[in-house]
Amino acid sequence: MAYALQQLINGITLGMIYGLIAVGYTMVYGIIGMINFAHGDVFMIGAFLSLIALSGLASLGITAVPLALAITLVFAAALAALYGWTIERVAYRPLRGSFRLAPLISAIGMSITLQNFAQVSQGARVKPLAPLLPGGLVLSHGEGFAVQLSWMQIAIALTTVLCLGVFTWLVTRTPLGRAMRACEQDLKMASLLGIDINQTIGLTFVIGAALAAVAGLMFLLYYGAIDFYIGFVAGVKAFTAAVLGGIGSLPGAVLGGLLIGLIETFWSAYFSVQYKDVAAFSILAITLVFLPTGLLGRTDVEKV
Amino acid sequence: MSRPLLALAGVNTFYGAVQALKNVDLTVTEGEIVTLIGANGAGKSTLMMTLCGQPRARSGQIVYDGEDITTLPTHLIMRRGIAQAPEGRRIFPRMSVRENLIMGAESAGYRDYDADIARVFALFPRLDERQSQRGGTLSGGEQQMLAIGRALMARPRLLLLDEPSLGLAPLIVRQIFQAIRALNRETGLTVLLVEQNAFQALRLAHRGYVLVNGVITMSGPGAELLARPEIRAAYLEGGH
Repeated sequence: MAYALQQLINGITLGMIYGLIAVGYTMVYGIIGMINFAHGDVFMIGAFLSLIALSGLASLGITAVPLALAITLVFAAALAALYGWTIERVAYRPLRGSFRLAPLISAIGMSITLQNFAQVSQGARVKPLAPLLPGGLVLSHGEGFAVQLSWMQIAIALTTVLCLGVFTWLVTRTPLGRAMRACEQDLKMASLLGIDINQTIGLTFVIGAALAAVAGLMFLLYYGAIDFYIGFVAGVKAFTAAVLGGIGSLPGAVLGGLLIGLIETFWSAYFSVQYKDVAAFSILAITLVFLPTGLLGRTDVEKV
Repeated sequence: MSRPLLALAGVNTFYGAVQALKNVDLTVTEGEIVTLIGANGAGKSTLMMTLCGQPRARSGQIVYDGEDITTLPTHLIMRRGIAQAPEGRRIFPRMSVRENLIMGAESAGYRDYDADIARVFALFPRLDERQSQRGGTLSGGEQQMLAIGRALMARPRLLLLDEPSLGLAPLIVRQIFQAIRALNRETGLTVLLVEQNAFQALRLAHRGYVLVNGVITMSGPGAELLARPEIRAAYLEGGH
């Protein structure tokens, strides 16, 4: 029981990271109907930017952990947002109106470009980071197994909830969010109402990339090691989460992320760590075959 | 004669290799209601959309209020005081009625939009009752009212209405046409109206154009077109 509770805590933590990345996939899909395969690599770039910021701050003598983390978060999110905007501008916008596969192929190219860029500029070896927030709360001692909720896990949960809260407010309550939803529902009509759709799409990439960078920072803190390849696996899992939740649905992306995190964690705990990715990707295949609209995806028929 | 608010000169529009508009000339003067009638597929909606830059005119010139808008991006055209209630209504299905209306205020920069919403609700009380209902769940007539209301939220100088009567009960059609006339009389709103319902459109409009296979074949005052035998034969026989 204690062991299962621990897995639940670990799974939710991991799921939050996946959920934050999945939001970016689902947002871009909703608005331009394209899977942004470079999104996972923006997450990886965000993790590297975080590592650079943390090292830089440490060498400047800023060692107060909450302050350093806050500065790192803003730095990584801002620069990753710039990456997101640039990727859209350079690799996708010129292909809008082209055949459907063109931006998809361009996205794969972008993904490889970012991976290689990180590999060349940061080296191919795994970069470690010493734990910044050691320790935590011990929830129970029963059965010779201590259930622990680490400070890191609490920090990840709080940050995720905060980010998603701000994001939800942005989408549901602000003119930008309304413009994004309008573009998602009818791009042409949105432009007929005076919405600059290029700008709105660009900002969608900016927001998605910023959230991915937050996830990158949390991944770095949680695992304490990153390399140029982490974007691929985490990206595909977050994509799976978005599909499981129902691609295009924002709450679905978060729910899907949590489920994938839990499935992966419990699978590793009770069956086999080596096959944990198989479990996650089987979910992708099963969802696509039996539940193509996902858990919270839209099936409603609209009047024409 | 005063400078027209909108003037199309020699406009040609293509869908791929298919030419949808052929050398179209058309003018709309401030304060006028102008109607464009024609059969299905004649190119009426294409003309409306070409004005807004989707698709772009391949050649010719579109001048609005003295400015060449032929190659201007769509959102900038719409920000100059043109609003369209397009073919198929294109209501945002997963937004509430109120949010759909607020979207309409985007190009006017959300100035006084509470007052504008009140005005739209006064014009279409049905929308007031359904403020928080999702656009996609409205009936056809309600969606049409919403599409027109949304266009009015932009505070347009030129209102483009694409088949507002399509698929609606006669009573609602009359209501909508009355609303158009009232807006024109009371606020001087300029209207370009595309209609299949030629009889009512020509009675409402100051002037009319007839579009056949992408070519303007006739134009003149509404009452005059209404009296022409070839118009009666092609568009008015049977019904009404």
